[in-house]
Amino acid sequence: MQLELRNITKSFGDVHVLKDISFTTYSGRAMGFLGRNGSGKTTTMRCLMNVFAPDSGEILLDGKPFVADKASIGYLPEERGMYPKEPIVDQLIYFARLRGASKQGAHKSAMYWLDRVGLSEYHNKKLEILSKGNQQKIQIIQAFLTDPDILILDEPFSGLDPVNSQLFKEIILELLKQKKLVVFSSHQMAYVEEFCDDIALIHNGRITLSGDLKKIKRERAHRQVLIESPSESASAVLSSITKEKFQRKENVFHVRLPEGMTKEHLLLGLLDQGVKVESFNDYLPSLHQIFLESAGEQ
Amino acid sequence: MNKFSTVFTFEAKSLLRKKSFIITTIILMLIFFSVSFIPRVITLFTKDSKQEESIHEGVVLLTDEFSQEDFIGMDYVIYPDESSMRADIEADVISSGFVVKGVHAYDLIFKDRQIGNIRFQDDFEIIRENRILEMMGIDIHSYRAALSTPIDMHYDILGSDGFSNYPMTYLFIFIFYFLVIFYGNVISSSVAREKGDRTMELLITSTDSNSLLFGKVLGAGLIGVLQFVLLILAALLGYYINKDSFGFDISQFIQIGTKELICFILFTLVGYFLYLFLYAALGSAVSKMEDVASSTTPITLLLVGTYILAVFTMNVPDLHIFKIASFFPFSSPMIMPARVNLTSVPDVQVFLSLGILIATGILLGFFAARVYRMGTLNYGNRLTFKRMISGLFNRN
Repeated sequence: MQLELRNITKSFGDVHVLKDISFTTYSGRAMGFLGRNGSGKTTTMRCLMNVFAPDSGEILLDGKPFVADKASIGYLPEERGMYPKEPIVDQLIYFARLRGASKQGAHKSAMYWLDRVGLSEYHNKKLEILSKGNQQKIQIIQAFLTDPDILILDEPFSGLDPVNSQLFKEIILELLKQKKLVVFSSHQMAYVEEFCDDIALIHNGRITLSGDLKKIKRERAHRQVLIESPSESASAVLSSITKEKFQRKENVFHVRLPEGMTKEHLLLGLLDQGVKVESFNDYLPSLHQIFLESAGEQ
Repeated sequence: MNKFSTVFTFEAKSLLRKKSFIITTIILMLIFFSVSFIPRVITLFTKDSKQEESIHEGVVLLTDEFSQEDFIGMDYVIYPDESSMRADIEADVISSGFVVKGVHAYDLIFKDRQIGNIRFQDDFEIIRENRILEMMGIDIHSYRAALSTPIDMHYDILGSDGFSNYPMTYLFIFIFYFLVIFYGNVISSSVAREKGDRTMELLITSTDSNSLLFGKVLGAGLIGVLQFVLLILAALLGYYINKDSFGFDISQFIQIGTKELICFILFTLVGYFLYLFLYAALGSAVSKMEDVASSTTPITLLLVGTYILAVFTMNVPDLHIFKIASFFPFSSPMIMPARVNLTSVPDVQVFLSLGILIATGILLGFFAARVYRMGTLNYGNRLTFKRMISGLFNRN
């Protein structure tokens, strides 16, 4: 499956919240929709879920107009909310039934997921007695109940401790293996970096960058290396060879290769002049850096 | 609307399971039950006080046209002059006194005047009548005997028995008023709470807002009716236990016809849900529970207005405004059953009014579902009436 947003715009009164949002996401590939607070992530998610309609643009599923109400879809809203005073399993069954599950199917699925996240012993308790983190877990599993083809998760990791974050990362990876289409948003770049296949970065309501993360990293890493050297002379030698400015953090030098020079040339040059090289690597920017750079380019 | 029954069952079940609901029902049933003991308690007290009061009235005769025996026979204390009687009234020996000046004149003296009939007025009427008959030379005994022969008369009512149905009509109006006021707020608070808990976004992305709203209102509304029926049963049980203290037989008021009863039940139920839809719409228009009361005030005023109109025009059910109000969907649930009880209403009018009511109810249901849907998009902002209306015609 392929879910495509094309030129989505949305305004509230005079405030232009989404400006020409376009990106594509594929089933089986983890799509991270990343941006700072207030950048437009939740509004985009809500447009996807038809909580409100976009002012213009279109959303396509495999090339056909996407209708959230008709698709098999699990949604975790950014505004968490379930019934605090109802027994947990009852409301999970209720939400599953609202999305078309049978009574038995809904019960079985609710118990499976409660067990999966280690909360099955609380199934008959009211939601409000759980800690905030555990309530959050209940919120997340409600999205999985009907075994949907598409999962739209708005900030699934916020409010979870590292152990539970890891648990949900594993669950999401498992769902991706089943060829589900998963879109999740986050503002914690470092957190999701290792497990996004694709990203879409949003800044001030505009997509600044989108696509395959590895490819983006490679493109951004183009002709840059990280060199670690304890030698006093390293800085002076690097300047004389490259004739370019470089960044230095203690013993690590971040160098952009000048036109016509290969990595091998640079390494040999350094060694020739007696500079001790402890490591010599391609530079791969972190997601955080990519985000800062792409936001800065706007 | 396919998820209607899921929502309906969930709402009804969650209300039935609520401790606060169970406790309120039990407490209200106890109150309704114990209210029926009030006449018994009142009789216990009034018996004593009546005996005390009866010897506490005095009379001074300033005329020869009556004899003291006339008044002594009726338990009055005779005083020789006005000043000694006044002194006893001041000293609380007697509660009131009467200075009789002639066949057509007397003064009344009270320490504290209280509401209610003055026994002396009735007694004096009889004594005066006797005196006048005597003066005209008519035999009092044969006159009284002639008057005491019962009149042989019977009613032949072609239309409605407005007189006998009057108490029942009042009860109908009150039941409707109570139902709506009581459960309307339950509905609007429950919708507002869902919005406050942020459950709404999950709900509206899970199913259509029509199923949600109709299921919610009908589910919770029917539980309301169930609770109300329990209260009435509690009150009836109390009545049958204390039947003797009431001084009247309730069954004489329940001689209501089948047509009247069906009309009452239909109009009350449909009207009740119509109002509940309004309450639900306004509940979803606010963003905080605290705003519910102020936002539902207009409906409450509408209801109170209809109630006042109904109660004040019950005596003259053929009044034009009463007729018009029996077709207007917000007042017809109270006024049409009242009209049917009190006067003759052609069936076609009843069906027309019921049709208008049902159609308006369904329309309002869909209206409320739209507002409910729009309400989710307005976190933090109160949905103004203007935006509510303009939003209805907007594609979002």
